[in-house]
Amino acid sequence: MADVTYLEALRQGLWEEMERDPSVFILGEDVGAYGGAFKVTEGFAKKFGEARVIDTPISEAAIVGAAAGAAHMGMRPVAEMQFIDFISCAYDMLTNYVATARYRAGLATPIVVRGPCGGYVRGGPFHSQNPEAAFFHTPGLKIVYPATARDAKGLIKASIRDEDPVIYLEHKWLYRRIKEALPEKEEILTPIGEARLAREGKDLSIVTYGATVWKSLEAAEQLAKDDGLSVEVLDLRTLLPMDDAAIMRTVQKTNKVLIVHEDTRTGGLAGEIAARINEQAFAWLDGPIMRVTAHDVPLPYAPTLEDFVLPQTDDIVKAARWLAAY
Amino acid sequence: MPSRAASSTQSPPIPAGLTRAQLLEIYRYLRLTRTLEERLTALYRQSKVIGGLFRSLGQEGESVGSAYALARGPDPDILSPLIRNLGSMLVMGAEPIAILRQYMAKAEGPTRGRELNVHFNDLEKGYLGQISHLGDMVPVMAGIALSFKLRGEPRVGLVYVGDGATSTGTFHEGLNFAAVQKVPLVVIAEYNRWAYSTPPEKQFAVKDLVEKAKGYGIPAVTVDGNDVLAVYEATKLAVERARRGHGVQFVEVKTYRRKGHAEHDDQHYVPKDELDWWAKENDPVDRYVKQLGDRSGDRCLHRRAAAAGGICAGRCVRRPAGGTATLVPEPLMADVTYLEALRQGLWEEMERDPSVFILGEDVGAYGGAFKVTEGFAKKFGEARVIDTPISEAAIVGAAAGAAHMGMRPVAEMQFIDFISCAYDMLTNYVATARYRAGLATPIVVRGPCGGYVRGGPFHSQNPEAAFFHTPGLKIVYPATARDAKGLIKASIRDEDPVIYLEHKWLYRRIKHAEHDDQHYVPKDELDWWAKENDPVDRYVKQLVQHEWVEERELKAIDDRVKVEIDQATDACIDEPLPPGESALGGVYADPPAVPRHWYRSL
Repeated sequence: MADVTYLEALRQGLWEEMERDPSVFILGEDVGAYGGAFKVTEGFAKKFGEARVIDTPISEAAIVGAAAGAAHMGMRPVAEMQFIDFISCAYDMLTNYVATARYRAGLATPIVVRGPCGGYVRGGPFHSQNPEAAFFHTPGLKIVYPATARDAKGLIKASIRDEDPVIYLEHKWLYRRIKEALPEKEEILTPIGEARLAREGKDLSIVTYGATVWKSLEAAEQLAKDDGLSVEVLDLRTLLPMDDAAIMRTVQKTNKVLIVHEDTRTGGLAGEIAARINEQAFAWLDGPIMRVTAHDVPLPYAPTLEDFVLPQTDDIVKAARWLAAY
Repeated sequence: MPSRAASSTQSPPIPAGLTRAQLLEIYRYLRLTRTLEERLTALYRQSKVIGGLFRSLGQEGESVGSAYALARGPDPDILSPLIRNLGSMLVMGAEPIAILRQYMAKAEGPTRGRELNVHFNDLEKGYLGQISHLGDMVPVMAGIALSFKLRGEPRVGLVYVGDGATSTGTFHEGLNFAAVQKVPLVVIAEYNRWAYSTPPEKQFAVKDLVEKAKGYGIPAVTVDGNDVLAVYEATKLAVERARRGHGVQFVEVKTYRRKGHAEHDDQHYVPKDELDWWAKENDPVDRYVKQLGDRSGDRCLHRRAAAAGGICAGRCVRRPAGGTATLVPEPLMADVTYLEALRQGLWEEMERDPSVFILGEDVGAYGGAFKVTEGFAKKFGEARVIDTPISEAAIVGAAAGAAHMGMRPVAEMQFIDFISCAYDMLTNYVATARYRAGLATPIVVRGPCGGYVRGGPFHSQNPEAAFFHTPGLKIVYPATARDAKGLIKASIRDEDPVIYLEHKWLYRRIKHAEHDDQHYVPKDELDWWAKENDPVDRYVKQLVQHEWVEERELKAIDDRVKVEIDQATDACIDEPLPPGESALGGVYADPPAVPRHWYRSL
């Protein structure tokens, strides 16, 4: 067992899949000689050769489109978006071509589109985005979003082996901030579509994913200490398809739900999660479903502004207190 | 190393039109750029700069030289810089303090801490900040230039793109749009050898960027980007050509990025001797100084520029926000269809306000795929009802640029499904412009949406969820004829971007849909192609003429084909449609078999 970072875990997962299956290859901007903007693919070109670690022109549409074509022919491409914000330039390709290919034309398109997302890093409006809501609405895509090093590894491997297109969101604030001991021999695979109970509790549930898993765990700790509240934290890990059963289990256990996400509020995933709880577990609720999210603005750059706009541990504590007292 | 040196036009000893004072002013901007960046680097190392720092070391010459060719002062030309065009902004009048405030995210900065580095604008001075999505500024600047053309203003737009950005779709779409519209736009393509870590050989297969421009019918030249005066001259020529109505001009500047992508980048992928050569032998400032041959004057200017940087760095402190407005629709008199109501609304706004104009695919002569704009081109002229190339990104981007300049563009998506091709432009550029950059972007993006019309997956979409999540957009979706009219008028008058969704199933529920009768094609042209240039006829004639085959053999094939098609038609004509439930799964539940043998050798 060695302590590895979230980034290193992701890297290991990619490396192992590249070793295991010759049909896996990587393409993206600066992924080869440079090793990727965040060094996720450092050393890959040397080990696996330039043919399998392809430096591409700057065109997200071409990267994703070419990945799809290769996938139709049995390859397993992993496409890197240098920052996930630029996935917007492949929006048409992903939602109209890739997502519909199986339903529309019977074409398997097992591609992974991965890239660094998220804020808390002073990246400004175009290097901090969380794009899940833009794709969550599109039938035919899967979306995963690991919060732990173990899942960073387990989900990249599962995504590569999945038969459908997967958007793999990796939070750049977590890259080198969290570490975890991972077994060296055991193969780590995280099933797509299964949530993870990050903390058990009985008074109130927080349903969340990504960086706010850690903010929620901090809040839960503080609420236990200061208020004697027992807060359960559910880490969704896969956003699409969503693990409704796990959500309803925690609702039925604590009867109060707070949904936390880093993305903006209007049209964000929290609204969809609330609607599902309303449809499937209304009778179990002892209070309104509440949300803690970013404010509805492009993410500003100044630390003061960014801190205000993004959900912080204190915001979660306050909302949880209010809901617990309801 | 010298092999990297650019092919170039020779700069004359004293360039035409420039005075001694101007030569010195150019030098001042060069020095100001370099000094300011050196200061920023120091601040970065002290952790005063927040986030990354981007240098233009080695490229100051082309930034300053090109911008200096523009008109400044009241109603200036407008340029859109990239991350390595700080010098161009300084030329247009950006103050060093604004740059410093930006880099340090200060409340008093031009974006009040919302945006970073050179991402800010001052249209009165003549610059429009970029966004991070490369290539997006090309369509936007095409729109700025379009507004100049529409209003008959003798102004020019200038947009910078890096060699890497020429790989993006928006670059190509914007370039083509601008070329077709013959707008006064100058493109400065910076061949600086590195896009982050990627060299040109991995970015494109052409040798020079001018080759890309030629593909769009755009006059293009290559200049030595580290020869300030050569860049000035080439740009000046391009700017004046654009100003005189000769359309888009393209100037490729061969230069070299001497620092990493940002300060964190150690450039391990760059050959050390190459860097040294460019620093020692081809520094634009050194070369310029040598050209001027006035060393006493330059030292004095050096001191002044350095002092300006110093004063500003000490002065950065704090401030906050902005607002919007809407309007109420006017009453409707007659009994009309949903489509006709929308049409009336558009018509009335076009009559009321000369800044309203329409752009989209087939909106002019054809009158729009659904005839929403039928008769508009005739009434309002082609300048205000613009048939565009097929590029939603360019249409929306150009609309945004024109809107920044006070126009009220209404952009039609032929089917709203294709708004996905402008997703980046809408969500990243348009939606954020007011918040991020204080830019009003009063555009309407409208188009037919919705199903119930057997349109299939790409002509039936409802795109509201894709945009609902994006702060900064408004979305309206009329269900009645009254609202179709009232909302299009209110949308056009709104100060913010509005997506106007019109349901095609509602268009003419009381009438038959019209078909394409090809009225826009000259009848004799159609006849000629049918009679004189049918490919099958020509092939048959060839075969028979050369006596390669006999006519009866061809006839036999004709008959067999007809039978084959008849049989196939008969076989499927009465087959049932899939059951409705199958829309939810099962049909393609298992992935089809894929050949797995051939890549074993990889």
